[in-house]
Amino acid sequence: MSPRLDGERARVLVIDDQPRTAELLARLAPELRILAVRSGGESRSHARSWREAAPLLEGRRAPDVVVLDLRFDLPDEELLPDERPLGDSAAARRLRRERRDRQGLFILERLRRRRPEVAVLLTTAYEEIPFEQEALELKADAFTYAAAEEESGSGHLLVARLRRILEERTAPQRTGRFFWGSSPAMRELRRKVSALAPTPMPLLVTGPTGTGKNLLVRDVIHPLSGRTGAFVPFDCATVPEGLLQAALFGALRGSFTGAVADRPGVFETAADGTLFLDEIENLAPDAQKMLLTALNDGTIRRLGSAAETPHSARVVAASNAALGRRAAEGGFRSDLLMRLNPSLALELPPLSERREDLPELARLTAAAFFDNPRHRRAIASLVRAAGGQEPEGAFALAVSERDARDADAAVVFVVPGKAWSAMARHPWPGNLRQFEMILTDALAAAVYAGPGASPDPGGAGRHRTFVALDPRLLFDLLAGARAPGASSASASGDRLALERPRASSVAGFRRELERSTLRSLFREAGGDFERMAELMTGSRREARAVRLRFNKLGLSARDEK
Amino acid sequence: MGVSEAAERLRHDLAKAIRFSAPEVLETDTEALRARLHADVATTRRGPSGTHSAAEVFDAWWREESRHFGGALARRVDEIARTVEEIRGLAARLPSLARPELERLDDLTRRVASECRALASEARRESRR
Repeated sequence: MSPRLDGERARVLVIDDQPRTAELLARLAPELRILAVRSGGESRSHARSWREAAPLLEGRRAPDVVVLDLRFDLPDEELLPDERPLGDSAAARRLRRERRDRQGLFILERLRRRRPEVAVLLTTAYEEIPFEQEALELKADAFTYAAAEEESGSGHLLVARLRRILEERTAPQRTGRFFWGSSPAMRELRRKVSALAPTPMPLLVTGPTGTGKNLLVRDVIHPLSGRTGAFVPFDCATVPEGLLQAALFGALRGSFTGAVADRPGVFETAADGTLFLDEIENLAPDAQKMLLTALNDGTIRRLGSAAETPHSARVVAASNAALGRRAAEGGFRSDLLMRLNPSLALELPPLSERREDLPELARLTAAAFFDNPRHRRAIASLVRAAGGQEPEGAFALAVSERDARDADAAVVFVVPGKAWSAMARHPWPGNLRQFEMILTDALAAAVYAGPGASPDPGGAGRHRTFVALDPRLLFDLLAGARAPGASSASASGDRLALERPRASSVAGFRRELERSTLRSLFREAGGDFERMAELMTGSRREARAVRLRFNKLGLSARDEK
Repeated sequence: MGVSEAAERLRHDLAKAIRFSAPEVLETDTEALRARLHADVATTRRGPSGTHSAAEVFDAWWREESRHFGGALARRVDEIARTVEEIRGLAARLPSLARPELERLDDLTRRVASECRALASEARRESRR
């Protein structure tokens, strides 16, 4: 159970002031490798504090999963955030309790900064976790509500959750052409898709252009749906308004000029299959109404026909616009939006919010390039021209010198360090599509027009050839891939005018400062929490978290309006 | 310091730990049952400050936090204390307990976990008022 893809045992780091979780895992899940922690000359199977855990989160091989407790009974010197003695006053005792109660969250915050890609299973005895929202914001993958079930021990529940997370981690990075990656947002999406894809309900997929909405529906949702019919894509933006009804629902002969024969619409073509309505925000108002009827009644009517016939297509719509706002402004039917189950919308994050996935995306993009026989032949010619041996075996892409050294491949393409740093920082307005295009262009340039390869005779019969991608070309490609105006973000537009709050303590000052910031943003956003989230994070996805924080700080939308 | 936080702390330190290793179905092997109860009841929490039994964990909590509870919540705490006393008595004789007594001890661990959960829920409701 739960082996890693490379055949090794999954590596689990337990961070808990108590040894029992680690002991239980060793007993109930012997297939796992519980990482040993060395501290004070002894070796233990659990890290008691962040200080003990931190060294195990450095280096190349991170744990596959961290099992993290919430409450830690530790001396002040081992308690985050500042690991210092607190004294013995009443205020110090209160602060100590608070730090112990929330220590898991402090650790999670540090861990996320260092290892955003690692899955974290937060264990707690709390049924209603007082810090659940904060834990979710820090992207904990799962919780176990220990002792939440009367009969079964919490340890068994923990093992079950852990195995599920590991199964998700070892799942393929690509399904068809859709790239998952291992960022927390995509892991969450994978869980959601697994739950929703087999249902017959209409779905909405959202996300900026280039994030893979089409691929998600075609390569993941449709195959998982178990439906026997076809996957039928329909681009709502490209069909002229006058032809929409016929294109969607079909038309009878003679129903309009040029209709020389009866023809089916996409609803009929997608019978027992999936109808993918891309860019649904572009659907004209009349077509929205007809679509709503089709979804509500399960029937369609061909243009020119009086008869309504049942349809069996499952509708999945996609949009890169804020449909909620469009509906509020009257640009999209709110009843149609409701019918698309917006609360269950599958949100694809922009690439800039999942940078931890870039190295894997780069490797998979390169693998797709190397799979092309024409490119393979060209690479073989390149190696021969450089005096290297005929390449036998795999080709690989390395995004660092260490990667290049460790790569077990006959030909290693290397992205120079500075170029990779620039790629890792790039905003990627065109998202995955743009990343794949730029990297593919750079690879093609290296193979067909580059300066050549450098054979490395290596040792012990290991012959490899290195091909460096041209950093100047990559910089040029990146410069051309910025969003219009992105580099000239207006200074005034990004600044908030804040009043300096007054408070009797630093904690109070911070709280007042946050209140003041949120009030200002609330006014700027016209009371729209999605807009507020966008102003704060560049994405509307965190609107719920913003609203919760707003309320938690004692602010009231009604009072602020 | 609120009653809710104090109750949650008991839930974390005692309710979570006292049935931590319990399987879904009671062990048929008496010695396996005894070993599990020893782990959960006699060595409930282990850390830098040593090993503490379930009764000691409760005692430490009670010294620190019980003053926060009044009225119905205090009565709930008293119920937990009575259950813990019975656990203390049985745990002291754990190596020589017969099967029926081990099953009684297992039942008490379930009861104390359940009472701690109830206390946490009631305390949460109380603190919201």
